[in-house]
Amino acid sequence: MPESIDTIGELFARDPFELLDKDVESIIEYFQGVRAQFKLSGKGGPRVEKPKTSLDDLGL
Amino acid sequence: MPDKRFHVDGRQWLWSAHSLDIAETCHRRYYYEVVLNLSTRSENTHALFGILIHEAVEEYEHMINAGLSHGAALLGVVTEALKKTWDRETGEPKLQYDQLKLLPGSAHLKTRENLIRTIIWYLEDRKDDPCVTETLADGRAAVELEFSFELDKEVMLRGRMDKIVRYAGEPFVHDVKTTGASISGYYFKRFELDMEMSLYSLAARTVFKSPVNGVLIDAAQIAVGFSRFERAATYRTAEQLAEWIVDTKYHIHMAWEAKNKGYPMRLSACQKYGGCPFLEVCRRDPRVREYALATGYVERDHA
Repeated sequence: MPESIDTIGELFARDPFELLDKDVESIIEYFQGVRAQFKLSGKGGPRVEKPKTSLDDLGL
Repeated sequence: MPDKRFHVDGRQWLWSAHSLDIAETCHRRYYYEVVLNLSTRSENTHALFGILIHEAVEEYEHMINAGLSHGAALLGVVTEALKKTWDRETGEPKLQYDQLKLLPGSAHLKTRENLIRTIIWYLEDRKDDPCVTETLADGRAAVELEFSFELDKEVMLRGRMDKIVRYAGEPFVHDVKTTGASISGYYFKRFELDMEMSLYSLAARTVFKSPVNGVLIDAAQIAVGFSRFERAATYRTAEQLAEWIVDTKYHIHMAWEAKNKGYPMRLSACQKYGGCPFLEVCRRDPRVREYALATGYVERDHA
């Protein structure tokens, strides 16, 4: 699992005909991870109502 | 070498949705883009990006149908996409941001990294898709459907559909579109009178004998940090398609006639959809337009 975008940048810069399956899997895992974070941020996927954070928000 | 899309007298007889669309928009643009087969580098970028997404989706389906797991198919598709976007002559990747950022519009978003991200996210999104591929009357799966059929004795229409699917109990042609714009109801509205969607609907009914209701569109928004997907249908009735045939014949005959009039400009179309790609040519003195064409445009990759 790559730890940084630099690692992904290096993989993208390499000749893909010489990449191993594990290299491509790292690229896939990286983008899957980005998507998971993106969904958590509430910007992607189905819209989810934000949790109520105070009594005011709950209308109490 | 003569262009096989044209009669010997110069009239186009083999028409795609793209050439119909351009002929209807402006006859001068039709001359530059279809007759001379020119485009901007920006347009070629959008076309390449779209084609690579379509190919990835097709390859994924082939692999799933051959019994591969989602993970294995995804690995295969991403590997292929990386190879297709690598220039082996120069040893450099294609669709690099440093080159795309010089192009107008949203071309800077169509990078190699965004392509790979979009493929991965889209296939993750659609791995449990309720769409079911239809079977044609001859028993074949309704995928990768190339078609050409006679509109009349002098005109053939041609194209290629991804597939015909059944969704929520109804048959549709299925298509994927990419855009740099936000996807909303407004975005999908443009397809209600879209040339390509009408042609697909007509071809599905006449060539493949599939009683489709219209086209189911998967739209992919390509942004700087994310890709987002939405799905919507555009419908066509038999009456609407009959009207489309009459109008299309008219526009083809007008394009033929335009050749005898020097392909007149339609000035009301110049600023639409972010501006015509040939604006920089048409705005110049006629004596220097040929130079502008030679220096600012390239031959279209996909006629």
